[in-house]
This record gives sequence, structure tokens and C-alpha cells, in this order.
Amino acid sequence: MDQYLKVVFPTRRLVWIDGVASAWTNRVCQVETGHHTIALGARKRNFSPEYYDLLVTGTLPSDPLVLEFTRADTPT
Amino acid sequence: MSSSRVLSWGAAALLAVMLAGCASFPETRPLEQVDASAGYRYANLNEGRNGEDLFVILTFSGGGTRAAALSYGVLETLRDSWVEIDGERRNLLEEVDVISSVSGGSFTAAFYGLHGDAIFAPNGRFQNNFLYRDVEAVLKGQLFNPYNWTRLMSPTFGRIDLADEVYQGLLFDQASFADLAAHGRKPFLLINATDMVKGSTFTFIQSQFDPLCADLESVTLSRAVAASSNFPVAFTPLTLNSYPGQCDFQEPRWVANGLRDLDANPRRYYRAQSLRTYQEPQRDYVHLLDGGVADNIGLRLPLTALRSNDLAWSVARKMALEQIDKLVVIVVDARNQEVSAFDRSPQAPGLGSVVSSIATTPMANYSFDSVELLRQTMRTRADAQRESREREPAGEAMHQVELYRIYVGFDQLTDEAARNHYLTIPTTFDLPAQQVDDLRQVGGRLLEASPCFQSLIGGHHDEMACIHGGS
Repeated sequence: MDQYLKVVFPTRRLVWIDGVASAWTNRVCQVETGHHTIALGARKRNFSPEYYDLLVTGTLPSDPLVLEFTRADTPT
Repeated sequence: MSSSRVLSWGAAALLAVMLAGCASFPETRPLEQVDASAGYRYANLNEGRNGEDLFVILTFSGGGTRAAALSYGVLETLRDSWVEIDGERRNLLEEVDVISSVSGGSFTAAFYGLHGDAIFAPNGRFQNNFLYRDVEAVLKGQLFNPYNWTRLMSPTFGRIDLADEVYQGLLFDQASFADLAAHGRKPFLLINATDMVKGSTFTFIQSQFDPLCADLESVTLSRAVAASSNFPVAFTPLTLNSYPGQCDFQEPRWVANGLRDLDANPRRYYRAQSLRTYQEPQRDYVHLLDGGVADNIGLRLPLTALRSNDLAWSVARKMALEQIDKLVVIVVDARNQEVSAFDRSPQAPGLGSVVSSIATTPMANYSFDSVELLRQTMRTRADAQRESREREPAGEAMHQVELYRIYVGFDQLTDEAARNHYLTIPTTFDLPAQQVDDLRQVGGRLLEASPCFQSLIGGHHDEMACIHGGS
């Protein structure tokens, strides 16, 4: 039931999974199979989209789910 | 019978009933407001010299004094073992971050968590009042005390509450989780019982008490240990108060997501559902049985922490945040295998034997599966790290953690006579001193015989021994 996720962002930032700082951007991490809400934290909200809300399943360590956040000029 | 004698008997009976009415279990204090920065939580402990780069989890199984002595022997050996990390020599016992315990193992875990190295004092309180003591005789002495008969007539005071008082007197006094929180030192104790209604593990940590709006700091360690070792039928269920909806409890965000996972991940779904049902307004009490009913090895919660981000002290999260470089899980399993002569006779075993088999066989099978699940979990993680390292650009692969899985159990003994000797030690709170000595010694010997343990203290990670092969 382990899944693999890579959150892409231009700089190294904390990845928030289900409301808790749980990983780093641009690095593969392990998450549990299931629905997750993934964002880059609440303090510096200069990214887009605001969050992903999705079912994470069917990934492999060699083929992780890649979620991309882009830098937004105005806070989201 | 004269009228005065009738009156005397009547007065005595009335007094007994009044006393019975007075006896009740100690109430759990309500929590006025959930505060993540307060209470007995992993995040509120001071790291001190024990950082997280080397993260050590111990699990202590049930099994009465047999389990308590075996886990004690493992602690003694860890106290005498050292590892070198980045040129710094560190004591392994001081590196223990979490102890998850059940039943007999909870006595050792709780006393060590409260008193640290004082547990090792020769002829000290733990040795004299528990390991080498006929605790069953003390329990029976209280049970046969006429004063307690009247107390036991109360519907809210049971044999487990007497046991709680015995453990207070022998080991813990009035020490509570407030004392553990005030010490603020590791290891973080996970003393596990079983919620009788849900059939799931109930752990004495504040995050478990939050949805109940109950203050763990008002609970004594003796009570937690009594709940953890509350062998069904021998004792009555242990009761805690619950005050759901009275403390502005904010459900963690993963719960709403987990409740969508019945198909994708039913384990997570039921974890979420369990937490939500503790918030139901009609649940004013929680009734607890021995932790062994749900998990007699104390490994299930650490397993969840290894795979899920949902726990407050999630190990998976600490690995992803690059806080852990070496992860060590030492399972101390005092499982026995009492010899039976049933198969030599055509006569059907009696009712007592059947009940005993029903009670213990599923626990043993589940413990075996838990140990195998740990092996599978660590192997999956090791394989994933390797695949990720081979595919991803440098610095973007999964954090590479050295994984150490060490199993201490009697079936690891190569000498058949010794193996049979330990596997047939009964589950009791009264073992001969020589057997306690033997158990302490074999706990250390089994740990030291583990190739994975040797690779840990030798500073050369042997993945084959720790993950793929045996220990």
C-alpha cells in the first residue's frame, strides 16, 4: 500500500500532506495509498495551484506520481 | 437470634453496602481544550542528546513475567552496547526513541520510561517488587481480603481496579503521565491496551485521548499498565471516562481523506472511522482489555508509523523529511509454545483447554503475521530506495535510510533443548528466580547473536542480514 510521490517546484520547499509538513519538493517520497491533499504550506502562498486533492495509487518508486506547482506572482 | 444481634448484622450489612457504593474507579479528568503543545506527545519531548538520525524503536510483547524479564535482558544489553556515528560514540539504550509495549512487557517499558537506569539497580524496586516477586500472590491477597469484597460489590469497581492499586504499591506510586510529560525525555512510551467495543488497539498517548476530550495527565502509569495487562476473565475490563465534544477537538485533516479510502485502502479507512467514532456523543466511557487481544507484540502501531503520514510521530514522514538516517526496529517477542499431550489420546480435550486454545491461538498467529509484515515493510522500503536511486537524478531520489530489523524470540535459539526450555515457560506473574535470571540472560544473548545487531554496532550495514535474510 506504499505509493511514491514527487512534488516539483523551482525551489526547495516543504510539502504539506493532509495539513502536515511531510516531505521536501523535488525529491521522491513515500506516501500511503489513498486520498491526500497536497500543498506547499500556508506561510508563503506564492504557488499555484493552491493544492491538489487526489487519490494516490498505482505508482512505483521508479515511476512516482509527479505533481507540479508553479510560482505565482500574487499569493493564491 | 436476639434482636440486638439482628440489628448488629443489619448495621454491618448496611455499612458494607455503603462502602460498596463508595468504591469506584479513578475518574479521568476532562480536557478543557486540546493543545498540541501540551500533554504526553512525541513532539513535546526534548531530544536532548538523543536525536533522530539514529531512530530506534523497541517493541515488548505480552507474556507475564516471562515477557517482562526477556525485555529487561534486552534493555541491559542495549545499556552495554555502543555505536559510532560520524566519529561520535553513542550508547544504544540512550538512543531509543520509542517503546511500544503490551501486557507483561508494559511493566518493563513503563518503569524504564519513568525511572530510567534505576530499573537496573540490583535488588532495586523493579527487581524486588516485580521481576523476582510472586505478584500473583499479592494480587490474590488483595482479592481475598474481606475489605475488598465489599468494594468489589460496587458495579464501578472491579478486579482490575484492585490490580491497579497493587501495581501502584509495588512499582509506580501515584506517578502519572503528567510526570512523564514533565520529564520530557525519550523514549516515547506507547502502552497498548485493547478497546473492548472496537476490538482495536488503544494507546495511552494524548493524541488517543484528544477525541475523548480526556486528559491523559490525570491517568496513573499503574492504570495504563493494568489496562495493558488486563487478561480477560481473570480481571474485569478497565474503564476510562470520555467527554466527547467538550474540548473543541479539531479532527486531523487526514481523517476526512481516509474516510474516502474504503476501496483504495481499507486499513486507512477503518483507522479514520475509529478516530471519528470516539467523538460520538453517546460514548461516555471506554472499556479496555489486555493489549494482547488486539496485538500481543506491540508492533501494529509502529508498522502504521513506518508506512503512513497520518500518525503525529510518523516515521515515514521523518524519513521523507531526511531526519532519520538509520532506522532500527527491535522486536522482543516472548511467545511461548506450551507442550500438550492431547495428540497422544483419543479423548477430546476438555472445555478449559478449548477455551485456552481459542484465546491464545489467534493472538499467536496474528503476532507471527505482524513480524512478517515488518519484514515485508522494510524490504519494500529498501527495494524502493534502490529503484529510486537508480532512476532519479542525484539528490532527487528517496532519502536513503539504513534499515535494521532485529527479532528477539525463543525460536531463534539454535540449541533444541534450550529452545524447548524457554518456549515452555508459562505465562504467569510468578516465575522462579532462576528462570528470571535465565530469561534476562537469553534476551541479551539473542540480541547479540543477531547478525543485523552485530552489523549495527560494527558500523557496517548488512542489508542481507537485516532485511532479506534472517537475524
